[in-house]
Amino acid sequence: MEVNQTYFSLNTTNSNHDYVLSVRGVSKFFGSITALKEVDLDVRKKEIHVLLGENGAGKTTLVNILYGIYRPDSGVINVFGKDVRIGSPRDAISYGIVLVQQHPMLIDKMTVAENLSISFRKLGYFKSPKIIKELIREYSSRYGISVDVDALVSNLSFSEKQEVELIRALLLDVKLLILDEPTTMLTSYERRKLFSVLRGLIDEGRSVLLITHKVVEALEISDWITVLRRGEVVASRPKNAYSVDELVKLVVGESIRAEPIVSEDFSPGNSVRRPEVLSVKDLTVVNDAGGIAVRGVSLDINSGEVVGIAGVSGNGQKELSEALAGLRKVKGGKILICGLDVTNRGPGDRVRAGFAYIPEERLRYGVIGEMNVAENFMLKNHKSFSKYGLILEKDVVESVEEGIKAFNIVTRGPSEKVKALSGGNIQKLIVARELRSNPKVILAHNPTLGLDLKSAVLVRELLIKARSNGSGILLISEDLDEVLTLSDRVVVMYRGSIVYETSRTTASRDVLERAMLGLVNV
Amino acid sequence: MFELKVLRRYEVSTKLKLTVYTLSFVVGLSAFTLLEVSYGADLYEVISKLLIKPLTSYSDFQVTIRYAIPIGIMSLGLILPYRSGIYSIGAEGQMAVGVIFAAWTAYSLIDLESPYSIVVALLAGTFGGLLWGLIPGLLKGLLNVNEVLITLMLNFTAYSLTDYLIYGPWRSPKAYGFPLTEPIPKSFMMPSYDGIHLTNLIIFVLLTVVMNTVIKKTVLGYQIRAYGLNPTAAYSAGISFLKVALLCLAISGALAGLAGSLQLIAVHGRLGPKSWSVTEGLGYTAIVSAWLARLEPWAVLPSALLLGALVNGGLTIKAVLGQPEGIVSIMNGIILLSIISAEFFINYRLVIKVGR
Repeated sequence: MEVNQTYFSLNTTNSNHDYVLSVRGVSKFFGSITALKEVDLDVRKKEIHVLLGENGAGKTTLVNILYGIYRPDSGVINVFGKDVRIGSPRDAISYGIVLVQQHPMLIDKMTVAENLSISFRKLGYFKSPKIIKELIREYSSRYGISVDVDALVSNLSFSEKQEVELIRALLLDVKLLILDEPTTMLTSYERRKLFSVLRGLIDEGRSVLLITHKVVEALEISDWITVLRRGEVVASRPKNAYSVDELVKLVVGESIRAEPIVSEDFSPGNSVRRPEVLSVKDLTVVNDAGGIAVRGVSLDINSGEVVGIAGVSGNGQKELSEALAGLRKVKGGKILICGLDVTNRGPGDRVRAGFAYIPEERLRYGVIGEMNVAENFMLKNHKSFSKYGLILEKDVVESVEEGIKAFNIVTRGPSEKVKALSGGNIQKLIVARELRSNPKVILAHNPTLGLDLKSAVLVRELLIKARSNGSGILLISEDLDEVLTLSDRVVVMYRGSIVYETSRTTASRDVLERAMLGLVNV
Repeated sequence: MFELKVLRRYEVSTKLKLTVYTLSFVVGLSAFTLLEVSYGADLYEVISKLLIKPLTSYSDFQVTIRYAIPIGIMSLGLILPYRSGIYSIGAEGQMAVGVIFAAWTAYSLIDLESPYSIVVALLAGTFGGLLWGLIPGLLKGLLNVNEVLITLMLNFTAYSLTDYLIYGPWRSPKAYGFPLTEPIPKSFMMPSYDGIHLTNLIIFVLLTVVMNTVIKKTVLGYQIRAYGLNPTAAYSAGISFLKVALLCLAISGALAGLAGSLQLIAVHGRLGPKSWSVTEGLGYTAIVSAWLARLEPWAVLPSALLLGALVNGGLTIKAVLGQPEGIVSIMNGIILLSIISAEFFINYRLVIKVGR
């Protein structure tokens, strides 16, 4: 403890000891950009505190400060009544703060037990694997988590990985658990399970700070909600002191319809028979583990039509979209783009045939983080910006600046590195790029996943616009409302097969939901 | 109480990078100097012979330039695969094959008039290096075979090919039993001005400009950088990996072949084993030079000069102080190691806390 004294500043405030965490006047600047401005935040004992805000509101910056990854430029952080300086994640852990990041930080090639052993410093370095496994089992059963300690992390689903992270936090004896957008990749069942685990933690006297951009979720789980907008706290009250409408307004800053706006020429069931642009015949695809992920899927998409694939994630959507994009080998069946057989050809042939791809994992497949906005903008069409093999920078910059304006991308300019943009703006950049060349076919996989309301609405509208321009769109989405709003035809995927198909006009939410759970056999 | 902390840096300035790399180079050089001193060499003598004389004395500087040119040309070539995420160490073998092709042209077209002869020999050498680069290029591009292994093994294949020629069909009967080839015809030898091969130097400088443009302004350079920074996104965008791998390795091979043929027709004039060899391990030094230049083509000019000086100085030390054969390789290794470890100090910050 004496060593840690050096971290403490001299003016130890006499704050309320009910506060697990108390942040006062924290600001953070990145160059000329203000990421956080005089932020106050109090988390009480046994409280689930939700930090609510759009993408780019500064939530992640605040979390990074609390976890010792960034330093605040001003302000005080107080943990259990003592002012502290959190210089690294290790400092944070020593104060009982543990962060579960949006994407689990685990080592894929190791088992669950091996991954967790890393966090077992307190047990000493030479503990037998048996004892470690016992301890993991004990902890997981206590909190209602079921995880196979001997499973390789690479074989776990997203939610299972998240559970491993939760167990790790518990092993570290977490006092304040921070979760950064924990539900973006979860199904509703998994989400409910997570929330019940969190409730269990609270009952034991721990506290939770949950970061999200979903208003409904905030109201569902929280005790207290703090709303962050453009780096400032705009409200902080107990949950019951908010109404839904008010909360939406606070988050967005202006009144906006919660449902996506549908443009007027969007008229489903337009019976004009247009040419087929994408044809999938009896497609079979194998997943990484060698199991069949997509079995015998057939689909036809016409120009000017949106076909939506609904389904709980993990039912073959990922493998299907990768196979269609040319990133995964096909085991059986055919893929034709505008009549051209591209079945086992690479992405290059698809791009040339007029295929556009809005991937789910946008940082991995969609952009090059270390390159700037302009370079990412021309990733697909860089040849059209060139003459005699030389890139015409002027043309690129002009075109990018147009795109930035038209798609409302928030950036410091064409030469800003993409990794510095927020998720929503990265997605807008990808959509801007993919739609630029008037593609024949667009494959959009969870195109609004993790986006704030405004960006999501914009992205959906852009897809509708592309449809009116004659693109055929295959929309794979976990968001049933999104599928229902945008699609002319809806199909449901369950365990790798299409189990139900209907047109938008005849679609019933109930039937679709049952189909997604495999309860309908048509 | 003494505490050492490793903290990640999130914002890295150019000034910091420059400082760290310069320091790392100095540290590497000092480590080598210490090694020499532990051999019993005089500290002042080592530093003076290794670095100062090769850069300040005119006659030594001529030799320095003579080394800097091939090192630099090969570094320029290596930047392409390195920028695309392909780690080729094959410049040495590609250079050797370039030498063989250039020599073969000279021996078979003995009657050709100068200066066409020189151009033909250079083109043949470049082509030879290109062929040697195509092998790993195809294997990498089509089958994704590990390029480090392939290029390394091809270096030894090229050495063996050279040995076969100098001990076999090309061995000169007039070389007093030494395994040397006949000198190549006069019409194929590059003229020099006051000990400096001006043409070679001009080729090197021009190539620097060209490669700088290729990396930064062309479609190919863009595709190469895209693959280096995020291969999955580059592939998804439809950029052909085969094309990138093939071109990177072929061009880098071609430049190594060019460097080799320049060394042959300007400096050595004949092929020989080990200490008479035309390549002299410069293909490996070029790796160090490329990384020292941070894969920036323009920065190859100073980094190649510096390594040229060090190779020159290292060879002097070897001869004068009676050091073992591998001393220049050891120096290369130590410097490369310290430059690469500099990456750590760019990304992380060490904080030492001394308190009660």
